[in-house]
Amino acid sequence: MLVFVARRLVVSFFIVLASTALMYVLVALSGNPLQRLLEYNGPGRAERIAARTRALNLDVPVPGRYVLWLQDVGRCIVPGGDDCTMGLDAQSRPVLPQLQSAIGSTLRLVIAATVLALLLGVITGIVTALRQYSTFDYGVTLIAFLCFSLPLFWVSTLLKQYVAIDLNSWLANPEMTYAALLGVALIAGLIWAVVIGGERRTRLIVFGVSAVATFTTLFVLLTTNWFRRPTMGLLGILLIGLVMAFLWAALFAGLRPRTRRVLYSALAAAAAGTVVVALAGPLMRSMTWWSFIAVSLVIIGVGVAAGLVGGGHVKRLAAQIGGLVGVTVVVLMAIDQMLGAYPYVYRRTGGRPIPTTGSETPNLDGNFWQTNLDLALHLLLPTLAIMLISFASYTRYTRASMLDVLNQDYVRTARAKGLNERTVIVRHSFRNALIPLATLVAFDFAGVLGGAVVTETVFGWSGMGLMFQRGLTNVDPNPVMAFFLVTAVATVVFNMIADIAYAYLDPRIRLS
Amino acid sequence: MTDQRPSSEGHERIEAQMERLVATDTDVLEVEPAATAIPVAARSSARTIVNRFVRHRAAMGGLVALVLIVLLVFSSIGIGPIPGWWPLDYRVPQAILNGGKPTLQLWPFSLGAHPFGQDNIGRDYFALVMAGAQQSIIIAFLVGVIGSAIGTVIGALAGYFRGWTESVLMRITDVIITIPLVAIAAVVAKGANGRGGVWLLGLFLGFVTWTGLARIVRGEFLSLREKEFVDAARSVGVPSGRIIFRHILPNTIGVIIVSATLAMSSAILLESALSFLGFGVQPPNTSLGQLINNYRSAMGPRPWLFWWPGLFIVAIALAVNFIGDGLRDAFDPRQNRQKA
Amino acid sequence: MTTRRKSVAVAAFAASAFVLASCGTAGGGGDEPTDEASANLADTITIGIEQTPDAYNANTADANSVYNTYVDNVTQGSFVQVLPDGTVEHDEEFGTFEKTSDDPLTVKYTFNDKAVWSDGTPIDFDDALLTWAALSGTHPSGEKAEDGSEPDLFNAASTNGWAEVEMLQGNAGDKSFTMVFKQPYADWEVLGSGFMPAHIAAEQAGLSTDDNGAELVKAIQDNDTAKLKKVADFWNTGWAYEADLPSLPDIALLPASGPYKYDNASNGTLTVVKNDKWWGTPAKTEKLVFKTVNAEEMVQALQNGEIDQFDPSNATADMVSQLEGLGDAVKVEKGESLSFSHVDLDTGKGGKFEDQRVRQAFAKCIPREDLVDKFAKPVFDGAQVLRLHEYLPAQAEYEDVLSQVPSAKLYDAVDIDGAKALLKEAGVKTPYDITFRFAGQSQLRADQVALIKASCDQAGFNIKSTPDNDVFTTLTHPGEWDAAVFGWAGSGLIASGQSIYVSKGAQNYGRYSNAKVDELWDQIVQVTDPADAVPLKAQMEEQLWSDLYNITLYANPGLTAFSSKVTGPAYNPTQYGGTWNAMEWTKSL
Repeated sequence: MLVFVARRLVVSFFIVLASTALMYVLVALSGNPLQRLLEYNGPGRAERIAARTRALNLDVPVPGRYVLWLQDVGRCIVPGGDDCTMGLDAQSRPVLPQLQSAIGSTLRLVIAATVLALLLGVITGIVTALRQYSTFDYGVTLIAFLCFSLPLFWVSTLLKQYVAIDLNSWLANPEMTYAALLGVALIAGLIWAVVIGGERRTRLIVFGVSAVATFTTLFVLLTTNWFRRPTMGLLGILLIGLVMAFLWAALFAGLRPRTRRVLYSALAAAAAGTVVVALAGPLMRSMTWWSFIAVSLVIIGVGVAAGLVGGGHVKRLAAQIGGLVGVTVVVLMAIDQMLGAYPYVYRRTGGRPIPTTGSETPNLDGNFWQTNLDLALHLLLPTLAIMLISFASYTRYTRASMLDVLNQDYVRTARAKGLNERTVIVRHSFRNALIPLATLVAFDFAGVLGGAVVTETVFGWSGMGLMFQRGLTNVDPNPVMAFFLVTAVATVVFNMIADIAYAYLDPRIRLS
Repeated sequence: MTDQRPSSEGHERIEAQMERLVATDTDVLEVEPAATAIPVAARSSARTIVNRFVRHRAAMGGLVALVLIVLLVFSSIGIGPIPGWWPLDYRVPQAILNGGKPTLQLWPFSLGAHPFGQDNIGRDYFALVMAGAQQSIIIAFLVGVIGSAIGTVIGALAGYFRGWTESVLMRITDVIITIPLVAIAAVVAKGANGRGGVWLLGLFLGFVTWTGLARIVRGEFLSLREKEFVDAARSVGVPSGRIIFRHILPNTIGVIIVSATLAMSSAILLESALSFLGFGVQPPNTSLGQLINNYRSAMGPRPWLFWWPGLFIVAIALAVNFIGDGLRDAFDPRQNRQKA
Repeated sequence: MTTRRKSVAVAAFAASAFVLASCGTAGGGGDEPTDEASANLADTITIGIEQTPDAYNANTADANSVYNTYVDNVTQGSFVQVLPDGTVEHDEEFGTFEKTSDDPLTVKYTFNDKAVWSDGTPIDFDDALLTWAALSGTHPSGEKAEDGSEPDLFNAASTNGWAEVEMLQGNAGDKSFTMVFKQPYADWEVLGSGFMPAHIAAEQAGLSTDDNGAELVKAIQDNDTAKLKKVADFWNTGWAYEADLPSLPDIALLPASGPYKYDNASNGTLTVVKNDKWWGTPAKTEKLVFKTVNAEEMVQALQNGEIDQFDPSNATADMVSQLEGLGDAVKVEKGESLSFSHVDLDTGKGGKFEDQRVRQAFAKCIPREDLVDKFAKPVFDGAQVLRLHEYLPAQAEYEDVLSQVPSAKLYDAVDIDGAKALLKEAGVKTPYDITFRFAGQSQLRADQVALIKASCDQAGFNIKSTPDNDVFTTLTHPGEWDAAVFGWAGSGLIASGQSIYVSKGAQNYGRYSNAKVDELWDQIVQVTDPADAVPLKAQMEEQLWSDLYNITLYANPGLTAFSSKVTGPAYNPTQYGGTWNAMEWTKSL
């Protein structure tokens, strides 16, 4: 293992070296950094040209310039290097601080998009694999191909118009005609019926139940003005927590008598978690990341403890599910708090909470939840845009992988020996189908960073993508190289992690 | 992705994979970025493949749509000096009629003077969209062909010869893979700008989009080179070049075709992204990406300027994607037999 | 199979139930919105700008962003303000000045007695002297640059004007100073601006700030290069922001002298708040926020309430229709800016347009009226064909000067036959090839060249539309271009156009040379009363048009768009931009 990591590190180092060298030459050949100054005819022309030549080492031939750039980067690796600049930009400012402020917002975007796309993509992919050749499968396939075929900035423009501007206008005065309400309910019913499928009767029942449920929910939310003052409350946390606990237990442990105790302990975990949330109430207003982590750990700990205490002979499984329920309660708590913060953000943004540009509302002066809600709302559109494409590829990939696994002999054996369908899918197929996904996610990371170049430009995020785009437009090589350095390092590191994870998940593979 | 996933071909295959993994454990990874895996082409006769493809309704729909689009695009305004049936030149401004609104009528069907409307200075937008689509299709085609050719050759050499050749070629691939495609494409496109038209742009983009296929083809070769028929050929003294091109390559053609198809659809989108970033096709040349980007702000006031090129991009890319899906199923029908 | 279906059905039901449950209980946790928050709302106006400001000190050569001015309009006091019609208004709140002599040109400036920086330090002589030291280009660094020139200690963007001023005489703490010009300078009236806080520069350079900056004053008066080098280093770089403005430098270093002072910046968004030390008419809105937004995204940002006002650097017809589509929520004011589009011709020896008749033929076939109709009128109804170079329709003198320039009206209408005849007379072989350059990636210019081509090719020209990413470099290489379309930013100043029109002028790309024009310019730059420049420029215009120096197309249309909740913004065609009167804006809830 250590040998493997060491070898990979050495190889990766040379790969990054070669990739930066290649890009440095290509960037250097792509234009003349002095171009704009040559257009300039005012006073100080010679000095400006001299200053830029000095900052970018333009008097040195390209290979030498690359070596000088490497030295600038190298100083950042040597501990205590004060001259760590990662080179200077065309205006003689060090690149490092620019990169530091850019990398944070880009990572926020990329990670949010990847995690969401992965979650949704895997779930959708598995359902489509289980229901191959159903209407749902065809529908998802069509949507996935559509996602593959949409120009990113074209979608972004549409998203701004319909998701931000129109939704904001609706939120300012949330009301729906009964016809619209009925329409939404029917569509929701149709979607559920298609997703669940089955015989005609089942479909009709599902259609009816979900249409009525949607209608009622929306009706109640609208009449109580929930969209202006959204709230969930402790009771909401408790109820949803219990439902989710039931779902997790049903999914991962089954509802057989043998695992009944798992169900009970999961429900207990949800209840106990809610109690912790209630007790932590006074902390909420002055929440910080540290206290948030502390509260979260306590809630998850309580969940695990509930599993250990109540789990009996299936202690381990119960503890795992208890932990999962704990995480669920933490998420619910965060949602609840952010819903509570919504009216404040709503007012501070002049009644238009979903922004089309930028990464934060200036001068928000909010508390923990208000600030984070604002950040989340700013993430909404760019994440959606980047997500669409990753989502499509994860869905297709998971579907193919799952189909492949379901076709394996051992799955047939498992079915043949009478294991129930849940066990076959959750315990035997699901896990194995996910293994190859590890590498895909790592691979996709560079692609998502590429998507960020376009998305950040559309949505006015001052991140690495914008730094790249502007650097290249202005023929300013060092910020562009900083972008390439980060993507190259990220790609090789992620791939190494993926390979290690792969070997860990798949016992047939050994790292030598 | 072909060579890491457990497959149904039994232990033999898995062992072969293990061997490969051990031999190449320093690889960055063995995954192709496309949506789904492309397993080894089942060795079926060409006719079976065609039959399977024809039965794939979505793919056939895509094929018909694409053929129609290509026919429309190239017959309407002609190719180069050859005139088409549409009378208006996309470069010549006309008097602006009715605020440049489209005259296309679906029922009763009539084209009118300017079916897609007119642009800022009165050029016929139908002719412009056709011209843009031509350029986009040319770029996509070039990228598909060049990228696939490079990818195939590199993958084949690496997979067949192994050893030093493989190490060097695969490290080169790894190096390119560390760079986001849009970013490297932007850099080379900026270099290509002002030096030549779409042909140069397509050529340059082809040079940077071969990595995925190279890995896949190498995987195929690693597996096929151990097969009996290759051993047989080798033992009777068939030269390496002949073995590669006459014996092994035909067996990997499915993967290559599928990958080339998907590369073309992503090239159309790549071109549009580059236009948006300002590194794409430059006026007075035109492309679909450039047209949408120009008229992004026209979405509200003059929607036809925004939607028509967008529609063509989506239609072309969608059609190509469905064709790719159909081809994949035709070459590798394993997943289709599965009924869950 | 059925088991699975059942369990999925159960899951779906549970999911619906959980959606149901979420509507539940009223009165949850979290902060109730405070009234204070809503009261603040009308106190903030957000202004959309296309590039991030990049320096507090916008007078250095490295301060690139034109949007520095947008901020400086409200944070920096100055003796003058250039109004939208190009006239100069004295800002008596900041201080007063008057011309006391014509020979040598002498101007006496007096800061307002109450004038202080926002940190409380008085604005006085040391600030003026530092401005002179930095902008006059009289402090050689002693180092030789590679091309043999000797750079100044201070990296000033421009030394125009201040370079003609003798060192200011006075003592530290004086509230007034006198500018004595070495030779007359036509735009002397607009020099009294761009003051940087000398006490900060002195302190950062390690000089004492006691006695109203006496040490710095003495260093400048004695030309103490060692001390000045430190001051200059700080002046050059100490006031620059980090790229993209992730945050402001220590705001103690950034005192303001206008109605607003710096407050904070994050992620490219700069906030200024009312300056409590400002002695003049107080600003009407508590906070102004400058938010960087991509030019194409401005309209949607305005529609979504993320910005309250913006003025695009490049207004297009679609932008106008988009804005008009927003109805009453948005107000738009339009006009003609002080920048203009024109077609330059290579008139030099061996150039395709060396023969005046070919130039005239070209001018006759360019559809100027049509270009205005297609590119300017959709933005601003009142747009017209531009018939002068040095005066634009937004300026009061335009009509008056135009009436004195008869030749300017000769090329209004397209005359293909006339153009053909002229080409024949000139004896050139048709089709006559013209390499027509324009900025690559500019759809506007590409479209314009396409229209010109459609018309002029009928007259016997053969225009090769040539996009060029580096058009300004190409322009300096005769032979690589024959015609080019691009814009000049007019300043409303008297002398700034000289280098475009005189022989061997740096921006005289077409190699035009006329002794009379050269001589007129020599007189123009030395007038001390703006009115004296008008007849001289009228003569010069007549000469330019009869020689056909180039072909002006139109003054670029511009606009300012703002939310109808905001009152106050007005279109400003000058380079000072939309925030010229932002201290008077208000916003209702």
